[in-house]
Amino acid sequence: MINRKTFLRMMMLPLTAMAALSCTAELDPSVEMENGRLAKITNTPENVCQESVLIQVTAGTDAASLESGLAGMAAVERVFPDVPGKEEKAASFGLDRWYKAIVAEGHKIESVAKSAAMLECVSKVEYNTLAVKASDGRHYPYTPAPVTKADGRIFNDPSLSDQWHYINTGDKSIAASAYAGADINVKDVWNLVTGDPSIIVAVVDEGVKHTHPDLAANMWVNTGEIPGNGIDDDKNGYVDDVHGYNFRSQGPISWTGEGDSGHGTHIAGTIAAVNNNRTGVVGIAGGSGNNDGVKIMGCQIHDGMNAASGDVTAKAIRYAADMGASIIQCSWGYPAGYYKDDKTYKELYPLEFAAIEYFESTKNNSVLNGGIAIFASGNDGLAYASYPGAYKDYICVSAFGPDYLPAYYTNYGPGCNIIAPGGEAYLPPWDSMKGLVLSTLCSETNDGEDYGYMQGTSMACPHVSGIAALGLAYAKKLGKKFTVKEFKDMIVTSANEFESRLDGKKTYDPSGAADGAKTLDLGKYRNMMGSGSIDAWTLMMKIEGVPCISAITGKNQWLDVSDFFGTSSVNLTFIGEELDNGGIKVEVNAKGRESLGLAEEPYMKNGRLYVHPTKAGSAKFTVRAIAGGSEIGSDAAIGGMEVTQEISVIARSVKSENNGLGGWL
Amino acid sequence: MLLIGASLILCGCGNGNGDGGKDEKAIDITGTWELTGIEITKAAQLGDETIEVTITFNADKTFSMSQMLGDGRPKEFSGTWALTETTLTGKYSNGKAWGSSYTVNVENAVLTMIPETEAEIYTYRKKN
Repeated sequence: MINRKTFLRMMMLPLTAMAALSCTAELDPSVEMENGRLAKITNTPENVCQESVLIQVTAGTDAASLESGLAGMAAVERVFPDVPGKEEKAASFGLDRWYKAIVAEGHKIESVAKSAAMLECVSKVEYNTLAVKASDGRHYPYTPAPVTKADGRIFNDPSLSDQWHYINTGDKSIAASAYAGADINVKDVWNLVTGDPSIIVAVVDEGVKHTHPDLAANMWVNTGEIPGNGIDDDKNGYVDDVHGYNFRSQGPISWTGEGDSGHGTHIAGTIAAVNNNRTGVVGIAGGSGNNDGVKIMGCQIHDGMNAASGDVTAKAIRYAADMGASIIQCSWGYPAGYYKDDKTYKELYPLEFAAIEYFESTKNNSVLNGGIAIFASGNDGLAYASYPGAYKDYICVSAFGPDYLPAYYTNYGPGCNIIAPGGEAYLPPWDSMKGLVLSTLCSETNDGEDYGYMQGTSMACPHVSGIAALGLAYAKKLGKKFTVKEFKDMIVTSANEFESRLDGKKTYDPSGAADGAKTLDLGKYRNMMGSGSIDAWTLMMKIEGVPCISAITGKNQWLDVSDFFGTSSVNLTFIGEELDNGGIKVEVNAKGRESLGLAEEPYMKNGRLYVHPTKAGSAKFTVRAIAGGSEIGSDAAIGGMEVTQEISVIARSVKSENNGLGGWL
Repeated sequence: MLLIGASLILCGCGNGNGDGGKDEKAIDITGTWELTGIEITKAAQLGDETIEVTITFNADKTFSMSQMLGDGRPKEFSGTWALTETTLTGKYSNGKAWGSSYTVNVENAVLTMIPETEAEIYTYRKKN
């Protein structure tokens, strides 16, 4: 592999004497000082679109200026269409200055990129990199059982009983190693909330089959667009974008082409298949059958054999922001381990990064002050998450199987923040597909069936997106408001302990034949699976508010903080000044110190909070930790997400042991 | 300020102390009580958390309690209680003892409960 610096060094040598082209034919001294204008080229031409190059111009440069100085291109077009009322904000993220140069026949992207880099009016040149889906694309048809009489389940969808990823009873027909409770703990949540149609999740993926009988009612509808009239009625730059748009092919959303796997439709079903409709499967936030599910917006970036390029993903993400999405669900990325620090990612993919930042800063619901980006960690089986998910601010999801063990394909380690069911085929006794994730699929590409199984971190990711959407719906119902950071922190700390499972070996067989079985050393996953497994109920309780922890006056003591950091808190790395005793100092203000009369410095150690109050009172302790790994992601290294929790403690002279349950008396 | 909103409810009848004590010293805690405050005898400040506790003592010597300490939904507890003269003791339903026994008194429709440490005085006002 040629890394970026090597590439630039290789390309710069023969070009130092090259005559510079420029919109104004003047040299830019600052760029010259940075080893020449080729430094404007952000990435390498590996795994990229061969038909176009992305160019960001300096402020005040128009398309004509760019076009006049650029050699080897057939046309130049703005990446993003003008959207009335949105342009000022888009400009603040530099999105208005991005162009796509279509390479002319007989020319190569490298020559166009170099030509662009030499122009003074150009600030960045990006090869149009292709993203990959976080799934092998294989799918296995499933025929739903007929609807029978109500059997006490919360929903009447006949296939809920085959969705172990929601309710895992340890049924051995799924796998001999099926583990009861290896799910997302959502069953009781559905008694609190089942969705909200004002919460929109953009599925940035293959085309979502919006006519699917178990999805149609939960599809987002652009009311500003008249279907099929060939006119951009709402003037957002896209024609007939009723349920979303096909950004890859610039037209109607599609799902029947050669190479389409149903990937986007499967993901959409996990988030919001219509519930309680006596049909097929259940979606996590699919409502109660009263048109009260969250809505799915189809942002198609893959189309048949055509993978998503950088401009396509950026357009889809900005569209999601402009058209009202609260969450972007992204089961795609770049190969894991390719980039190992946040700075490199940001520099290599400035257009995509700017679009995601734009999305996360866009408020589209009454709960948050922005949007949430959720990514799959990738299926390379490597000890790194893939970017963009690995970026420190984005939620990145790894996968476990029905055995509550890491799926053989999942990425893990730095960059992975939390885990969710991604399914796993070919667990002993090798003869069942039931260990995969069951959801909606496209009958056109799935042997005529509307449902089927898939596996991958692509399938784990929408579990977290669905829970996040459900959380937003519940917060809205309660009238709660949070910042994006607070809500993300709540999501990644709503986790169950997973480390105790990581002992010994696991047998798996990706070929599906017992004689080809392999073993997976589980020890390598320790402290590498984020903050633990996502727990929907815990998130809802966090949204309601976590009660104070009770302490007793006059004694030093360890307080359990699992209500705040999840039951895996003992495995988290806490951040702060390290004290001589190895503990991590926590923050408490002067008023809190005075209230509790703290006799010693409070600190975190082994996942517990150490306090020694001498007086009855209360205080709030600000505790920081890393969700995923021992290092926070930064410009220097790939790493986890910093999470902050404010822990309220009440101290009295009375505290009942009561098996840790508390009790006022 | 520590905001206290708690009530103590005693369901039952009769005027005995419920534990065979002497009638002239029996404390009548029948009725419904509302906590009006906590006096901290060994501290000057309480803090900012809102605390809501509702306790119902039943005549059959069982109790139920709902508490909310700060944020979140109320937690429910139940168990048994016993009153010996002025000393109130109890256990939760899992058999674990309360964090303290309490010296109780009722006067002018106000119930006070003082734990063994005597560090705090919990005051309940009769409801209804």
